[in-house]
Amino acid sequence: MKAKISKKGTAFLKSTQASNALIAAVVNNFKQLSNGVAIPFHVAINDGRSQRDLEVRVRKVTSM
Amino acid sequence: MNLALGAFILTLLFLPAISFRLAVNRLENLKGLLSSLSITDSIWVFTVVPIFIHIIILLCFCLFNVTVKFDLILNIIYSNSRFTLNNAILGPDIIKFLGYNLLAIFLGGVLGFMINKLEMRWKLVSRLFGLGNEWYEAFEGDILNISGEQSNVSNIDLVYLDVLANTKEASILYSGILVKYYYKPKSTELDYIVLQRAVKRDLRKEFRSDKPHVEAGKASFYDQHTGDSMPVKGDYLIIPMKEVLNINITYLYFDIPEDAIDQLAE
Repeated sequence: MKAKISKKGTAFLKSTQASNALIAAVVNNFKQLSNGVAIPFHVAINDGRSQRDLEVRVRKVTSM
Repeated sequence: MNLALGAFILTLLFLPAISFRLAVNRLENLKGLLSSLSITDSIWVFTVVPIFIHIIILLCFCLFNVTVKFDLILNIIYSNSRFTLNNAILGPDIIKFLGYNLLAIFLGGVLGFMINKLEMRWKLVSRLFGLGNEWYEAFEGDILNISGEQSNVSNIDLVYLDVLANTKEASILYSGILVKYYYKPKSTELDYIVLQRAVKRDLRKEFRSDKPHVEAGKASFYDQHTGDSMPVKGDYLIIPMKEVLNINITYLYFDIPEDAIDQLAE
């Protein structure tokens, strides 16, 4: 069975640096993440001409 | 001879069910959910689907005044000894009948493809047949609906797992993104799970030193903290469920601009 992975999730898993940054952010800040805090981390974005850093926030999904 | 031909024709009439099933199997999750309902699945696939397809085709044939000689086919199926076979007359009718079956097989595949689309968009088949199990609900995030409240299930981007596994030496905590999971054959019991970008953490307290003991040899001292998380080499980590003690699930959501998704650097 395929796990639930969104379009954004697929893009992250395809990018080694982005998925590594995500895992590091989650593992190192798991307590905060569990408390519902959005954890910022940086990923490299390549728009064809230049490469820049982008801040992404990850948070856990809960029932409303 | 006629008896064998009858069996062959019956098989032809059931073939749309097979093409339907092959098309449905292309959607891995639906295939997995249906395989746990083997008896029910076989019954509805091999009865409802061919009947539905044959009805649709026959209605279309009626509309366009196309006829298939079913009386001829019926005589062959019944192996009617009084029915004489004449190749000159039989040829075109057989071709028409085989063409009818080919169309039915094709429509079986198309129907399976449409069912896949409906399942992917609205989980129609899963809801209609009550497919699902505790693992599916947990990994899909449906468990968030358990209290009956509205939830953010559709916001889930990735499912992050902490898996506590027992090895011969120690308890290890594996963490990573869930990409696949497999059931045991014809069962909803989880067999193994696959994590991507996995890290592991040895839960044994770190060994510090051996110090000479006052009376009896030496005594070992351990750090109060357990080991740090270390990346697991390789792209995917497969964990057999027989070694798993428990699983902690966290559903993740990212705030990232839509246009940046396709620009993530390797």
